[in-house]
Amino acid sequence: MLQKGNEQEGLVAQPGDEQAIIKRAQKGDAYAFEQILFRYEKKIFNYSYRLLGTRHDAEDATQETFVKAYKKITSFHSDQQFSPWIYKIATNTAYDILRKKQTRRENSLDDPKVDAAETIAELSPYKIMERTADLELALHQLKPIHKTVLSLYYWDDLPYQNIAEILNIPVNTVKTHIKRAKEQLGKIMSRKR
Amino acid sequence: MDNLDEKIKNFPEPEFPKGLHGKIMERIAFLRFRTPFIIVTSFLVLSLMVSGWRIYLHIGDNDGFAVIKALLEGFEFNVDYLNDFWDVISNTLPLWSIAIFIVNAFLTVYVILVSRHLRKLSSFKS
Repeated sequence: MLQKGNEQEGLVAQPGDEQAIIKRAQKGDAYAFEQILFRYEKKIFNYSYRLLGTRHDAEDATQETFVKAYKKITSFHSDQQFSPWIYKIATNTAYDILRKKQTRRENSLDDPKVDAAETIAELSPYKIMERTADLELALHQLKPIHKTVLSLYYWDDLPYQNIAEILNIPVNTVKTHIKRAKEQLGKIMSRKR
Repeated sequence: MDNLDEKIKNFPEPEFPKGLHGKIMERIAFLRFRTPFIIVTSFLVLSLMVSGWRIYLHIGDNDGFAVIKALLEGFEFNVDYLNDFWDVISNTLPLWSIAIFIVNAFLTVYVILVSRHLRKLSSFKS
């Protein structure tokens, strides 16, 4: 363990030297990889949280994203941008978790006890009060692709081109998804009032 | 829609979990040593199997099992008998090999326990 805590601003890489740090990380320098971690861990955690909706899942997804990034770092090309690359890994990881949860939910349909427990947990007033706003609840009712595009566009401030690269879809499709996601979000929130 | 844009932008961010940075670095540290770890474990297990087999053959060749059985059947608790017992045992059994085998066995168990911890760290918790 080289350093702990993401608040150590002195260790955060500046944009200009990011490529140099990545090159060092590609040569197996764990300290360089930790600098990348300092730079992206909070962003990836927040992004995973918005896609998955629980801190526990977001923590798992963040860990898995950086472990995968460490394993694949040698396949990263210097002519690429690092941000879309790491977000792509984070997106795939979050989708894997969502798929696993979906499968588990389908399998547990045969067990009424499990199903009932989950439903109660999801809908209990305590759980709802825990949420910071209606927006958060509404966000979790969106389709994964809509959550993803909204998150990348609004919170992670990524341009359409980068979002298209992360999701492997054309730029115009990204724009359409954002428009639909906002419409859907507006509808869910107006239904709640 | 502008109001919605504003709401989305002002959406509060969750607090970053304490210790998550450390957990990620721990998993990365383990990943770095995984290959040498697997090689060492393989050698250890192979060496344990080979030395175990050699001890078994050595005892068999010297009719060690029958000697031990005879010694135990006529066991007497006195200094002369214990001296004879030790002489026969040290000539029949490969004591150094057995000592190394025992150390090897302890190391293997330790490595298996560590590898379980490793597997827990590197598996996808879901």
